[in-house]
Amino acid sequence: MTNHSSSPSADTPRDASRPGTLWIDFDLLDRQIIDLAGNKLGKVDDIELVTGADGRLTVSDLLVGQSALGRRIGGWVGRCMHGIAERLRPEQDPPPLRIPFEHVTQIDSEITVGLRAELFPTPPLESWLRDKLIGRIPGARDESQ
Amino acid sequence: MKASDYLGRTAHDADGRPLGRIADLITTTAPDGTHYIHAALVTPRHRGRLLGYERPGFHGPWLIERIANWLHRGTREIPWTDVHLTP
Repeated sequence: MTNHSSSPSADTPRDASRPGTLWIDFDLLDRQIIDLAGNKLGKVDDIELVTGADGRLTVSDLLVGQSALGRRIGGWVGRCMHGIAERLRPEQDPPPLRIPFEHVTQIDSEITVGLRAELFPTPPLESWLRDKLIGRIPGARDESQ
Repeated sequence: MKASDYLGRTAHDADGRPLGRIADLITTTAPDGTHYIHAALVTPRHRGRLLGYERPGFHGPWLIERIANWLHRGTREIPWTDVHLTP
């Protein structure tokens, strides 16, 4: 793996004829993100692009979450996904999980980031299920029950 | 802006003529290691997702490759500076 500050494309075999080239949809979107220990962080639901000082449109962050995916899909399906994400989160307009692209260390069938999964909040659906369903099952919180 | 703001939109040339739908955004690496958009993959037809055969060096089962190339014929890279999102 490369170090965190270098370009991840050095490990990217996707477009072997042009090293350093990435195809946003083909190489990044919908791929599983894992941390250094192999823990899953979610899938890439969208990519944040920013205009740099030189005017170039630069890849900034990987976006993860139902709200980002719903916005990308669009239509009534996308609105439903975004609505569910809003209901599961306490915030009014839940922001997607952002992973700065500079932390990407390897891009293959999975995208590896040089961060630990513990640094990121629990996905809203997982926390909702834990609080509303799993946590209410007798014995879920106390092994002695 | 997000990638989804561009993917699927119609690209136009400088004269406002439609070139096709933006199927992918192609980045290259700057000297500082950042990735910036340098081209858009534009396909003139709306026939589902591309299967990867438009990428250099991708070959495939022969029959599937031929069908994919026929469905997405005319797909080409357009330099990002030549892409206009509005006519």
